[in-house]
Amino acid sequence: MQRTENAYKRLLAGLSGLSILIVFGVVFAGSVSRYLFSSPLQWSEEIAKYAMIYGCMFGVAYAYLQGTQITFSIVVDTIPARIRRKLAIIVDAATLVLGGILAYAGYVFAAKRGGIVASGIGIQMYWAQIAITVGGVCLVIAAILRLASCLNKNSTGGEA
Amino acid sequence: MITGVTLLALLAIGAPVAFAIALGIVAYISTGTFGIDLLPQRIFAGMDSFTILAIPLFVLAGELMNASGITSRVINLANALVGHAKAGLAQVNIWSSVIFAGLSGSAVADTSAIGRIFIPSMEKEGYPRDFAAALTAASSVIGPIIPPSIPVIIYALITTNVSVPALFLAGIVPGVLLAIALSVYVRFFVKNHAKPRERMNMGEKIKAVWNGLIPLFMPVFVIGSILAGIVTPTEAASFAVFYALVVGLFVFRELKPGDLPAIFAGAMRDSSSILIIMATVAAANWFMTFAGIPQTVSKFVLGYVDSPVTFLILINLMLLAVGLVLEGIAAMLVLVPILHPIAISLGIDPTHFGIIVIFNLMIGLITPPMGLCLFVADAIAGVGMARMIRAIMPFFIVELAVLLIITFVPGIVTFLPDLFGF
Repeated sequence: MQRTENAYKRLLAGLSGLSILIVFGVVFAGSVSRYLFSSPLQWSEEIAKYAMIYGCMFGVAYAYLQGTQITFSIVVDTIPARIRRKLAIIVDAATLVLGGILAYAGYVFAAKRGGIVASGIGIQMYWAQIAITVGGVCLVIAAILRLASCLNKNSTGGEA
Repeated sequence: MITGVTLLALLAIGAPVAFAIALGIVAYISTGTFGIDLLPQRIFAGMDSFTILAIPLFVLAGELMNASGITSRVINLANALVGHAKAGLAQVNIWSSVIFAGLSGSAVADTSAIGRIFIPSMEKEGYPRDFAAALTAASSVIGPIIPPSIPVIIYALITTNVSVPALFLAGIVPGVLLAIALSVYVRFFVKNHAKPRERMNMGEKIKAVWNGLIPLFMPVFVIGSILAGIVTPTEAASFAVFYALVVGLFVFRELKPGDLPAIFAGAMRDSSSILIIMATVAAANWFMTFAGIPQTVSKFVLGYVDSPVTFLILINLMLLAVGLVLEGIAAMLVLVPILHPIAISLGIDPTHFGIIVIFNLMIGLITPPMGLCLFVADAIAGVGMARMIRAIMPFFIVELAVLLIITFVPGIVTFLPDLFGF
């Protein structure tokens, strides 16, 4: 299970890194083109924005798996470790629910409003808006891996 | 009711703040007439902005700079400038944070990078280990106040009438004032534990200043070009990334191409933790505005508070309390959309108010139990939280004094923006 989780983390890290590389490359190329060649790249703003949204969606699942999401830990820090492990399972279950809702609702949103064509890149907004669904699916997989890992460790008596 | 219970329960059990807010919205939607697709729609709209791109790009530039071996050069530069003063290494620690502020803009990165070098070396020079750790954490707070600063960009994004350049300028004097206050405290009020230091000769000083100028060019270019109106903050951030890459790979040669994938992935991961809170809070604000909540809160507050001074005192008390229990950027995203309009209604300068909010919440980085810089410094020093808290208290009081000065003397904050016509 740990190997699957590590492989999934590497995948999310790769996709997150690629997204920010695209954001940087496109914004930098757009700026250089505008200032040095007086020829703004019409598509650069939209590509960069949508790459960032996709990157954010991959990064959210990645940060969740790495335990680097911003949390309000003042209450849980005062609780004994055994209860904390049980609460972590509830958090993972809530994340699973949220991921499912985002995946479904994101699809409904993109299906309803995705017909508009983005002016700069000339593609349907569906392909940008579906990022929320992609993020929801990434979160569902991450939550399942975390839950499986917790339950596995609990059943073998290990630390969660 | 169900929204509030869901949100608070999830926050209390340790769910990520963004997830708790999103599920709170889901609970709200489930009781009303809105479609569930409104949640992703508002989240998407919350991120669909060119200016927001400055956040991941500045985070990336900071990460690249940190990996490029700037820390030792920044410390050498500060050493050349203030190392000869009384309590020299403590002064170098403070002023290294000021220089670092322009490069990374992150207090936590500052504590981690500078602490690793200063805590052991200050101990070697005779300072108590807890004092060195506390000073490192306290001076790191300067990072997000002096530009370029990620909290400043976020503040400008969530309010309508404050610009990024104006806030960048407004943060300079309070940041430097904080450094001076810490320096004065260390110089006059701390028992001098340190052994006498050797002075750098002129050749060493020139070399240190020359090496320090290379990383320093980045914030000068970023701020200068934004203020001159040549580039937008997002474009400046992309130039900062490019500059950090060139410096790290080809000038200092401490950054290896093989390091880049992990740095890029880490920067996007850390940015996404901020961006997703921004997006979910933007969604929550849309629903709250629809329900008229900010207007109700505003009317309620203005019914009791009609003086800007009283409001600012209350805000300082409230934000310091919030800073104790909530991470600064998360607190800012949740509170500013409600507090900012009230401040404007009371005639408070929006730039002045913005810096007060940021300053308050950054002090939260050194206050227990949620002070991130305190944790990072303790992780390096290993003195235990109880000693860290005792050691940080005098610095907390110094920072509180500076906060009161900038609160009640607005000119300190507004002087530079006014000078540049913002």
